[in-house]
Amino acid sequence: MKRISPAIPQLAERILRFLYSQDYYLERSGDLEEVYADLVEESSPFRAKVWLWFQILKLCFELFRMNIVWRFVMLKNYIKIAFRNMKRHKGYSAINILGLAVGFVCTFLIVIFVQHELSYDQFHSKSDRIYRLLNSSREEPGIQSALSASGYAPRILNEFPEVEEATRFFLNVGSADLKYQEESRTVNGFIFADSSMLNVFDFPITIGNSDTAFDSPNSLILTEDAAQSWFGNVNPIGKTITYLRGNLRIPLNITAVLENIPSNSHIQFDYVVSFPTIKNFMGENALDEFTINNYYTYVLLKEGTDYRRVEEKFPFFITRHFGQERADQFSLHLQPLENIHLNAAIKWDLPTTGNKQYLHIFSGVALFVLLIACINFINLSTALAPLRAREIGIRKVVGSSRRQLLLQLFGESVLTTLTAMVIALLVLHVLVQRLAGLIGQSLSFNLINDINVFLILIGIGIIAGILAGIYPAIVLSAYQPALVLKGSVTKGTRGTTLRKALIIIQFSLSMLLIVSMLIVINQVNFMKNTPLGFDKEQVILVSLSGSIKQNFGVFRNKLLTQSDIQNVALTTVPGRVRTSSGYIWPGGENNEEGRSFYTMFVDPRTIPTLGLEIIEGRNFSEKIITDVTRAYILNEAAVKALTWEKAVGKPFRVWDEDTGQVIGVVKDFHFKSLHHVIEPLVLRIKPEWTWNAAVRVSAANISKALQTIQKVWLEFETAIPIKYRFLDSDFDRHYHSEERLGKLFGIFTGLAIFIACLGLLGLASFSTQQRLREIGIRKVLGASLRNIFTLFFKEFSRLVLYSLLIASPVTYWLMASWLGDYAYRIRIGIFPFFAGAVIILTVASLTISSQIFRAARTNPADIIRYE
Amino acid sequence: MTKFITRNEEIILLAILKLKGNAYGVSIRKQIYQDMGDKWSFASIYQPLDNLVRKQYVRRIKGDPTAKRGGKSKFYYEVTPDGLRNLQKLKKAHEQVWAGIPKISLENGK
Repeated sequence: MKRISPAIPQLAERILRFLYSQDYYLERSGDLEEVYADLVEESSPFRAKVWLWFQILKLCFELFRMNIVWRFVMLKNYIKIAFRNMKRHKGYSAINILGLAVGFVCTFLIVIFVQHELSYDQFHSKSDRIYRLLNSSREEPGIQSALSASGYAPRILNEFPEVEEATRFFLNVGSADLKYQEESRTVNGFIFADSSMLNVFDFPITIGNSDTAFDSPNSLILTEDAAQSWFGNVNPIGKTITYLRGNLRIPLNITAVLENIPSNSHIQFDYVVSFPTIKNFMGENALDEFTINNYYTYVLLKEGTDYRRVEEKFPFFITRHFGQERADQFSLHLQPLENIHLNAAIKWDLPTTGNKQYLHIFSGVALFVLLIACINFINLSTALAPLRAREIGIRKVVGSSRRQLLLQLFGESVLTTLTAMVIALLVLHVLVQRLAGLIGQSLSFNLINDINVFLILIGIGIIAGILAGIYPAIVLSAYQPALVLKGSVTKGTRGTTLRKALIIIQFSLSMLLIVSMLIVINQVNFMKNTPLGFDKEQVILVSLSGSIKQNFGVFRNKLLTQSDIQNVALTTVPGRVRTSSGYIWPGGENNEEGRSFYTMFVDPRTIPTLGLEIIEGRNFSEKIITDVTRAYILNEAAVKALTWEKAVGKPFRVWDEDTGQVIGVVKDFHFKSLHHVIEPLVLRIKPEWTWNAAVRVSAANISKALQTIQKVWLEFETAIPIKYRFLDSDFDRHYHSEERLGKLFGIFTGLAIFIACLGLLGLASFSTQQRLREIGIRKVLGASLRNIFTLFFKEFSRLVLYSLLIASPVTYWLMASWLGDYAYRIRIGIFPFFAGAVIILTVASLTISSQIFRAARTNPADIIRYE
Repeated sequence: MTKFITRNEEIILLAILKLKGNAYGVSIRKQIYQDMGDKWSFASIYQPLDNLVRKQYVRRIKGDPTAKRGGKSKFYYEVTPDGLRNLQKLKKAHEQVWAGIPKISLENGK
């Protein structure tokens, strides 16, 4: 449309456009323009302009007044009222805030923990393209192993155009003995890796050159912490640390320093040595062969590559290098880097692997605690609601809409939640490490640094505030002003059913937690105390050094002369038994390849030292020379698996040895943790593969025996300090995660019950206060203290009883499915439920009794004299 | 439920009624000038107008754009039946409140 009149200034247009939505802008700007045009004609353009700006100014002012000032005034009022309410009900507000704060601390802690678990390995910039090589053999269908041989990486890199880089790690070194000048130490986190590791992973170098750091063999890269511990603030580049392995002294030249490895990396180390160094002790061919699956292989795929395409080509790769026959026997797979940490199903995975099931359990428990805290809030707010009925009524009469009221009441709950949240965040900020220690984790949380986590926490807080606030707000804002102001809203009876239901939920959850805790603890104790078929007490395990291994016979004899040492064996120990392949016997299914069995490499003294029991045949004997290569002892499970009637005398051999025979059968014992059933096991003598001495000491004085062993050790070895463990704790380390779970349940159960009781305390105190007059009248009419006490006590204890009834079957079902994972487990039985019920009933009774007593003992004259 | 109407809102409602379908910002302002002799600012017209719309006593109808307005649409206002009912009540109330006050005392202030 053509413009026939002078337009209002651009700036005015813009301001109006800013102030109003499209429709209103059109109207208002149009109206102004119309009058403006008239004015320009009637008087002067200048006057018109002055008028226009004056009008706009007034519009702005009006908008400001309506939108901001009044809202602010109301907000001020809301906040004032909120604080007045808090002050008026100090006790209840404290219960609310304290309960919520404790709930938040628990939840936040778990959130931080879960977040940490989920963030594993995501700090590598190429993490979405990194995969780990897995292999699975036909012998164990469905089981994938993380270990691979050293020959794969170079060939995969050469033959697959999709692969950008490949790198190998030798991670299972265990502890290593290092020496710098006169100082020698035994360190953990000592690994070997290809130089390409620095290209695949993001382990930034702080000092040194990443391109040349790994060029030559015998190079060593340290993390900052390790460098600090050896050299202080001196630049370590160019210094030489000696690696003592067996009889070898390998000098390692420090070429670079790495940033400390983040705690959310599944590969953890402090020392990384260049891969070719392995040749020193594994032989010249160690870097390129296919017999020893001892390494972890990672490949970096080119951008945009689907790893399944690469996996599809692996069978051809295997055929090319091993022939058609082997291709049927094993297969290769790729595992995305980010899936490694929480996938517990992989065999020979690193010990840092997390547990998805526990992640779920932890989250569930945290949610329960938060729920209990929110329920407190709902219960107390609705109970106190009638006290505010007048305020709500007046507000409605004066013209407040339902929406405004909802917002106000809602805002109040959010305010309470926020207060609790601030307290919780501060507590976390200060105590996170100590708290995390309680659940066996090392976590860090910094309000300022971890913005993402912080935002998640705030989000949870707000959601909890909304959940807790929505019901009270609806109830309160629904009051009819006419009724309220007449005073006909009966105090404290509204929503009692709901409150009771919520209390039942609270105590059901508490019951669930407490019974679960008791069952977990029972299972842990059961696993630790079940007879294992061998005697795990009073056995000290000593890791042998190279020179002692060479003179083991002398070392052992020397030990045996000591009075407090009963027996010494060079042996694999239960809890650390692995499979070994290549067993062949006539009638076996796959005679050419051999079959693999769990195998303990032992010596003739193993069976007496560990307290095993021979039930058929004989033990190995030092006097029979052929026992070293041609004698085998099986366990009962193996005999059963081989379907032999009588095992002793049956021919049996390993693929690279002459045929020998089974000389004995040992009674089944738990060589693996009680998570697993007892599987077939072979015992054979193979001193080269055994680096552990098991020393049985006399019960009287273990610490003295330990000193004796140390003294003897020093006679044979001065360069390397002795390393020892106790067999029982070494075996029980398999139960760490269960112990941790028990501990977690313990802490959270305590907190849950605490919060639930806080709520109960509040409600009991409130409801007795409300019924003071009733109590007074009852007393006047002759009720005794006991009568009144029973009256009130019944009401509350009934709720607790209901919750026990509800919680028990749920708990039974949950815990039965948890126990289902264990090959050897406790029967749940009635005891945990009984104990849980007693604990909850006692605590709850104590809580309410105090309130009831106080009310019951008030003088009726004080209460009813105004009636 | 009858909602409260302020005096400004009342004046504007009456102006809209008088304008009989031609009530939009500028014409309402003109009508008030004619009735009261005061030049109201647009701000003091829009604010009660918006309130009336919110109370559903007045309907807002989009009209055609005109050249004089730089191609911007007019928005017409129309009193709703609710608004009319409220006005009638208001009128009755006024009459009752004013009834029995002699003209003379008004003029002399006695």
